[in-house]
Amino acid sequence: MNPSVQSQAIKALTTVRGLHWNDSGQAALTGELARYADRLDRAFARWAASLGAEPLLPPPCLPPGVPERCGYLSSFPHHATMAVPVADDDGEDPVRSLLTPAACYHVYPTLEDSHLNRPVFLTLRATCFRNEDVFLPLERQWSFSMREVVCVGADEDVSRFLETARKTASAWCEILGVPIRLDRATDPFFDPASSPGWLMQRLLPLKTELLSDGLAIGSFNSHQSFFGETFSIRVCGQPAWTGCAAFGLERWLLALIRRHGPDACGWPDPETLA
Amino acid sequence: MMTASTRLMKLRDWVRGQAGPVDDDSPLLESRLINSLQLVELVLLIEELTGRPIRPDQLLPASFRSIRTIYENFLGGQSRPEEGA
Repeated sequence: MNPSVQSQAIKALTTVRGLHWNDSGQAALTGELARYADRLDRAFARWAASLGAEPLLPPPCLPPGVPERCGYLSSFPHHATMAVPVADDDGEDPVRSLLTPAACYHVYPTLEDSHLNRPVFLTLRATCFRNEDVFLPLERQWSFSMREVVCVGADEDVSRFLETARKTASAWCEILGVPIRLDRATDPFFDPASSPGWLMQRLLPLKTELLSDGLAIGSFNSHQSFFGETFSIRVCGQPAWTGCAAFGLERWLLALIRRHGPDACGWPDPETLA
Repeated sequence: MMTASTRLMKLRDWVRGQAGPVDDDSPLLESRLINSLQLVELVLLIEELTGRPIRPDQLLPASFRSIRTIYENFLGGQSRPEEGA
């Protein structure tokens, strides 16, 4: 991105009350903006609870070994941020813990080697870290808040859940006066010219994004049986399928700012969502 | 010039060589009969059989769903490949 475009984007958000941006790619929220973000997240969590989702409180890092098993470090090494102690003299490699890149990675290890006889839903909010070339307030941050709802079940359970999640989130956006469209997505990491992963994502769409003015404020992802097989999670004797609905809280705030202006006091009430 | 039914036969042979005994309606990608590397080879095979590159706007999930849909969308096949083969 052109540096002047970046600085203009940052300048445009200086009028947003309660947004405290740091060029390291992090934002602190205060006042009504912070309260609104919390109320919005609680609406997401209430919807998750209505599906029977159990809460999960995650640690900041994925346990050592989990990123490798999930394929994260081989697929997205450029986004990774490791947590490393300054002093670590036990002789072991200190670079072991990955700061959470996406909330749902915390779910699958908690279900390792389990045999389920019905679909299970979990919900969690995590501070996620993604390294990027350019950071923009609320839009592309090094650290941001992600609320996820995860379904672990048979393939039809996951398909049904993702369909419900897409419809529910679309209805929320209508209530909030935020125009959106749903579009299937490919990870930009995959280079169309050279990557077989890109072609597979294009022809077998497992990820749908909720886009507001081109900004992905949510995504709905089917992992098929990948995590079920990786973590030996079985449902009725078969490897579990998993799917997640993910909502980036800061991006929802940005979409609301774009539609309703910088003062969260005048925005539609998120209590009416769920 | 290869006929549509010859192209279909070559497609079937290739898919079955990769994935084992599958029928013309087996979902190739959803059922993971074809992995991402094999998918690239499949696209190259289709281009070889037709003598034409596949355009980006032709990369649609519905077209690549099964042997039948590939036949209908790329290899000049009509709607009933079993009968024409």
